[in-house]
Amino acid sequence: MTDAMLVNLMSGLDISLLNDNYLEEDLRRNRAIKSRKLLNRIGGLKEGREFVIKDSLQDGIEQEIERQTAIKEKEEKICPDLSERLEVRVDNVKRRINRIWAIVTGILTMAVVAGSVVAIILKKKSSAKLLKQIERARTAQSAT
Amino acid sequence: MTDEDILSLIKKKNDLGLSMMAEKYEKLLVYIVAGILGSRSRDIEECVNDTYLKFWRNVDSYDLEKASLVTYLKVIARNTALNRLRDTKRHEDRTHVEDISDIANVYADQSQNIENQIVRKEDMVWMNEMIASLPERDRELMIRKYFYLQSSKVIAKSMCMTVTAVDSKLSRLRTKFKQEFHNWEREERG
Repeated sequence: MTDAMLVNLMSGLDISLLNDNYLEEDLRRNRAIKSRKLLNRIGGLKEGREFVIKDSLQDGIEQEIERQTAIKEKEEKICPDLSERLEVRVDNVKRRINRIWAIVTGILTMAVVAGSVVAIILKKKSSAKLLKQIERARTAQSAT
Repeated sequence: MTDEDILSLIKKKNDLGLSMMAEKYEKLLVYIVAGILGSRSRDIEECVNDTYLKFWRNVDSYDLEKASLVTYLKVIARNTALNRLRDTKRHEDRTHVEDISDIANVYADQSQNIENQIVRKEDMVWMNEMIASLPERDRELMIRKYFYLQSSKVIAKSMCMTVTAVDSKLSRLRTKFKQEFHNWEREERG
C-alpha cells in the first residue's frame, strides 16, 4: 500500500466523515498566511469587494445552461410527456430486436435451403452412379 | 446569506448564488488548492473556477442533510487539484515539482504508475470504516495528510505539535493501516 494508494482511497471517503472544520480553524487563527498572499496575487476578494465572475467561468456557466436547455427542448419536441418518452424508447429497442431477429431467421432459412439443395444434388449423383453400375452388371451378364 | 439560500439561488441558475458562495468560501478553497498545487497562481485560479463550475453543474445532487455546502466544495476543490497535479506531472515531466508538500510530490510521482490509481469499491468501504474508527486526533492527522495533502510542517503548526511528533504519529498510523489492509485482503480472498 503506497502513499498514492492511501491518497486515492481517501478520495472515496464518505462525505459525512469530512464535515470537519480543520482548515477553517487554520484560516481563523491566521495560520494560512500563504493563502492570503496568494489570494491577493490572483485578485481574490478583499473586504467589501464584490465578487466578479471571471469570463472563463461565465462562459462555462452559459455553455452549461445552453446545453441543458437544448437537451430539454429536444426531449420535449420528441415527446412531451415523460411516460410517453419512456414508451418511445422501449419501442425503439423492440424495433431493433425485431430487426435483428428477422436477419438471423433469414440467414438460418437460407442455410437450410442451401443445405437441402446440396443434399438433393449429392443424392442424385450417387443414385446415377448406382444405376450405371447396375447397367454395367446387366450388360456383362447378358454378354456371358 | 445562509448556505440554504445560496443553494436555492444556484439551483435556480442565478449568478448571485455563485457570487455569494465565492464571497463566503473562496479563501478556504484557495487555501486547499494551494496546499496541493503550490503557489502557481494561474493553476490555483483555474482550479477554483473549475470547482465553482462543477458545483454549478451538479447542484441538484447535493444534500445539505448529509453534509454542508462547504464540505461539498472542499471535496470538489481537493479532487480537482489532485487531477491538476497528476496532469502537471505527466505533461511537464519534472522530477520534482517545487513549492508543494512532500506528500503531494510523492503522490504526483506514484500516480504515473497506473497500478496505484486502481482502487476497488470494497477497499474504499474498508477505508471508511478505518477512518471512522480512529480517535478524533488521529483522524484529523490522516485527513490533513492524505486528504488535503498538507505537509508535516503545516500540520504541526495547525495542531500545535512538533514536526517530529507529527511524522512519528503518521508513521505509526501508516503501519497500522497497511497491516489492517493486508489482514483484510487475506480475509476477503478467504
